[in-house]
This record gives sequence, C-alpha cells and structure tokens, in this order.
Amino acid sequence: MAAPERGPEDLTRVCAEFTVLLRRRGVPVGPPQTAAFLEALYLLRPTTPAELYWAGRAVLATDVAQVPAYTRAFAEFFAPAAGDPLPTAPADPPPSVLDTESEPLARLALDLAGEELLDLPEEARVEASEAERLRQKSFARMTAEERRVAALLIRRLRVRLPRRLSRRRRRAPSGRYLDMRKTLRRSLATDGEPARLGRRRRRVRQRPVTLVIDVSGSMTPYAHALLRFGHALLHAGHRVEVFTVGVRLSRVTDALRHDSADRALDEVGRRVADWDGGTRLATSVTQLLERRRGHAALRGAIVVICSDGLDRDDPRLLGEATARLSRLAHRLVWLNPLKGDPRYRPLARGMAAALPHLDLFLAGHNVASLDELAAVVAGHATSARRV
Amino acid sequence: MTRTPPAPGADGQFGSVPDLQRALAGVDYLADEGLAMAAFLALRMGRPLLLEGENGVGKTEIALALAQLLDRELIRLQCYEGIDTSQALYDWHYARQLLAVREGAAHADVFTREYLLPRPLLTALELGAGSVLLIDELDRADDEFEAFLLEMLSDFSVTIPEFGRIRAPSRPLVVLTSNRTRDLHNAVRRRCLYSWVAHPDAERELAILRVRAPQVPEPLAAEVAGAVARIRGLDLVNRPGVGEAVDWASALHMLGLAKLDRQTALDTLAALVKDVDDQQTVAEAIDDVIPEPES
Repeated sequence: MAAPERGPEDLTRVCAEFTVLLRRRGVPVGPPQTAAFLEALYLLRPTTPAELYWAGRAVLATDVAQVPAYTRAFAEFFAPAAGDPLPTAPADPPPSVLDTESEPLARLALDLAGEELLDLPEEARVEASEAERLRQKSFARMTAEERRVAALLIRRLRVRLPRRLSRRRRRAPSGRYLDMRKTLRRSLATDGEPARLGRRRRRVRQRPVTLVIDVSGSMTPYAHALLRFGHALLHAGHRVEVFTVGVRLSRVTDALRHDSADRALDEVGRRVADWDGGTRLATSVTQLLERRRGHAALRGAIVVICSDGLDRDDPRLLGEATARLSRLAHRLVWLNPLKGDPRYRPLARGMAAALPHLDLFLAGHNVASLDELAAVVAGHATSARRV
Repeated sequence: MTRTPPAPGADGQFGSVPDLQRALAGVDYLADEGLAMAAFLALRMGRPLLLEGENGVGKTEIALALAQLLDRELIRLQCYEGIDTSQALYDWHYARQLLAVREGAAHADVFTREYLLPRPLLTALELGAGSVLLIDELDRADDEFEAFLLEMLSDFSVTIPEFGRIRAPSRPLVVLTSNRTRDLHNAVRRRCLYSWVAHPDAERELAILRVRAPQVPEPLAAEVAGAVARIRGLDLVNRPGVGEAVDWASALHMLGLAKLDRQTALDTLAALVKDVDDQQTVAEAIDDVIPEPES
C-alpha cells in the first residue's frame, strides 16, 4: 500500500500512472475517471488493499468484462507493496464475449497475402459469363485470382434483412397515432383550432444478423468467404455481429470494421488464435449462449452458423445448444459447404443432432449459395411468423 | 432516522463503507464489499450508480433499500423498448394548452411550468437530493433513450426546447440497472460508478435467508443455501435468484420440513427452478446437490 501514504502530488502521480497502466492493459479509462478515482481516494483514505481495489474497480472498471484486466493490472501495480491477498474476481463468469486474451498468432496472414484487392478498382468489370462460372465454383477450388474476383462479387451481394415493427413511434405524414406536440404547434396558428393533425407511426427496425463462423482447418477457404460476407454486411450498414469458433469462441466484429476487407481479415487473423485448429463447436455455441443469452445479437436475430459439422464435442451437446439457439433466434440458418456436393448426406452425428432445430440448411460453398442465403432470409421479411 | 437534505457530493451520513454496509443490513439488505463501496462512493461523490448482473441478484432492491435508509422518495422508471421523453421526462398538458389558446389568450404563453406534466425523471430532478431515482432495466430501452439520458447523468439537468433548462437543486441518487441483454454505450458507463452484482455465496445467502424468511429455522436455511449454491454451479439456462431461494426455503418450511431430503427437494423444485430443461438438469444431479445425510 504505497500509494496514499505519500504526499498529495505523489498520490496524483500514482493515480495517473495506474490509469496509464490500465489503458495499456486494455481497460479504457478516460481522464474524468482518473480524476474521479483521485477524488474517491481523498474521500476514502483507504487503509487496506481491498478498499483500494474496490474503490478503483467501482470508478475505473465500468464493465464486468474489464474486471479480469483490472485485477491483473491492480496486482501488477500495487501488489509489491501490498501485504494482504487481493479480493477475488466475481463468482459469475463475465458475460461478454469480447476475448481480450487471444494471443496474437502471426502465422496466418491468410492466403490472402497475394490477394491485394486495393489496386483493383472497385468497379472492376467482371464479364457476365465469367461471373456466373465463378458464382457456381466452390470457394475451396478457387485459385488465388478467382478468389480476388469472388471477393468483389461477395461485396456486391445485395442483402435485405427482415424487419420488424419497433415500439418507438416517430413523426410521419400519416399513421395511426396522434402527435399531440405537433398538433398543438400547428393549432397555435389557427387560434387553438386543431385544423391539421400531426401523426406518428411505429418505426421499422431491421433484425440483426449474427454470423458464427467455424475457422477449423477444413473450413478455411469458406471461412474467409464468410468473413468477407460479414464484412460486406457490416459495411452496408446492417446490424451484424461476427463470431469465430474453433477451439473457442472469439468475437471479431470490431476487427471487421476496417474499410478494406483485406486489412479487416488480417486483423481477424491476428485476433483469432485457433485458426486452422480443430473445432469444439458445441462448446463454443454453448459459450455464445451463456454469454449473450437474451442479448439482441441472439434474441430475435438471424443467426447463421457456418460449419461442416465435424465436431470434437459430444453430438448431444450440439443438439441441445442448437435447440436453445433456435428458440431464441428469429431464424437459425446453417451453412455447410459439404452440402454443395449433391451426394452429401448429413450423417456426421453432430450435424444430424442439430438438423431438426434449423430453419434453413444451405451450402454456402460458393457465391451463388450466399446469394441464395440473402434471398431466402429476406424472403421471410414479409411473413410475420415468430416476431 | 433523521432526514438531512445533503448538499451535492457530501451526504455526511456514512463515515465509511462498513458504516454503510451495517446501515443497509439494518434495512435488511446485505451488500457485499464491492457493492457497498460503489454505493458509498455514489452517495459521497454524487455520481450515478450502474449495476449489472443476472436476474434476481438484488439490483433493484438496493435502490429500495437506499431510499428507505436515507428516508428519500423512491422514483422508479421501468424502461422498455420505445420509451421516450413524453413517458420518461415530461409531457405538455396539451388539452389545457389548447383550451388556453382558444380562450382568446392568443398571445398567452402556453409553454410555462404550469402546463408541464412531470414524468419520473423530471420529478426526481426537481426533488434533487430528496429522491432516489431508479432507472430499471436500462438495457430494455433503445440507444436513443440512452443518448438522451446522458445530459441528465452528467449535469443533472434537462433541456426542454420550449421552456429552457431545468437543473436539479441538488443531486438525486441515481441507480441504473441492466441485465446485459444489450451492451450499454461507453458514454453512459463512464458517467457512472459501476458494480457487477453476483449471486451471493452460500454464507451470504444464509444470512439473507435468515433476514428475508425468518420463520425458517437456521439448520434448514443453511441446507437450502448450500443446495442453491450447488444448483447455481450446474450448467443451467436460468440460474435461480435470491428471491427464488427465499421462496423455496419458505415452501419447504411450510411443508413442515426440518431437514432437506432429495424427494421433497425435487417435488418443490417449482419454487426454485423455472425452466423445464433446468429442472431436468437438477433432477439428474440431485445426488450432488443434496449430499447423503450422515448417519
């Protein structure tokens, strides 16, 4: 407990240094929070490390997902002086999927290294017949050059997502609800005679999409295409969350925000450590359910799982997880590239267990199939089922 | 309890965190150290308190307990999708305004305080430190509502376009709760003190049971607390909250039980576990949940 026993300037400096360390450890602390922390210390004059810990936590770690990072930084910064053991982290698992611990793995710059899309003009002309051939070709059998063009095709896919009525009402020229505020305003001009009524109607909200992409070895070419699909959706302004599953679950939505799809994919590669490894699909989907249960990314959303269904987990688990997912989601879609082969039968035990719970089972192995996904999902836009 | 209308940021009633913890226990709320610290700082620093946690861990109750303890008026705003200013903050009394205008007072100002209908947020602002404002389940509201809360959370004032700015005479204690069904914006988080409210451990659960269901004898309560802690450790869709544990203990007591046995536990599970898959899971693990009685 070195901090509060020094002079006031020292205390200020300790606060500042601690918050700098926090920022470096991934806890985003703003200057007002640093000031608030200092204020709290003056107020409390903490005498035990536990007091210091909890005060800092209340002020500086404003999301339970930041608590592990905060706790480590606290230990690193104060522990050499502190005698008592530190309080433990909360008993409940932090429910955010944000995985800050993914170790950067430099080994994959994806096979995109050669695919620098940037120097290719966005409007590159793809001849119609050539485009059609590419649309039908499986991602796995494409050459690097074909993939580059396919990426453009994916970027141009037009997706319309299903929508639902929000409970929020906004002003409109017509609608079933009165806008009293506007009505009053207008009637001021007519000496209080409400000659023209203002109206409101319920706003229409788009349903969110959540992509869950298997990045195990056998899925790599498809995973890249799907990530590009996610990138395209995100940049078309849709509400999208993207997760990768392998040995574990990672949220990669933020990595995909980069304008350039190639850079975004590089970033995903850096963040996802289990690329090209095996799959623990059931475990990962269960994790997703636990951490985002009831979250807008699942509840009422369109959830798309992309995997070949070859899972190291107990198939029963996958059956249960998909059942729960399908109860939460508006639509549960499974893309299995193996289905692109007409001889394919979903016999893998995990896949068979998941099958009864799916709303849609598609291949997703080529551009045409992704287009089909977009069309089928939008096709339900008009149906009011499962609102 | 004497009512001391405190100046902003200096509540003066509680000298230390343990003092507050004891005082809360006096109104039957057993807070752990982290929560007590956050509440103490919120009171002393005049900042809003943001609580997140699963359903049924007592996020809402702390606001009730604080209001009771401080002898302040509790003003509750339940959030829901589409909630807007006319439901949360203020509305104009349109009918009266229209009448006033029609009564020939054409140049009368109808945008004055007397035509303003305060809703929970405005009521709390006008009461200032005399109130505890509970904004419950903020995650159920949409982003637009969150954005509009920002002004209120940082300067405790609101701006009404036709009327002007209304400032709180002193700071009310604001408690926000969220079940994390949606990520709250960082701008909201940064204006608040934060505490993650976890399920209590068996020891604290027992203490809570003793307070909330005093009719249940201690040995049974202890068994219930232990069993509930183990049930929460199972892989459940919905983990039982404190309220459910209290209900369960009361139900068992009502059946005249002095000691928890597996069969009765399963028969009364309806009071504790409210999901059919979860009931199945508990039934399968019942031998671990309720250990063999020592003979």
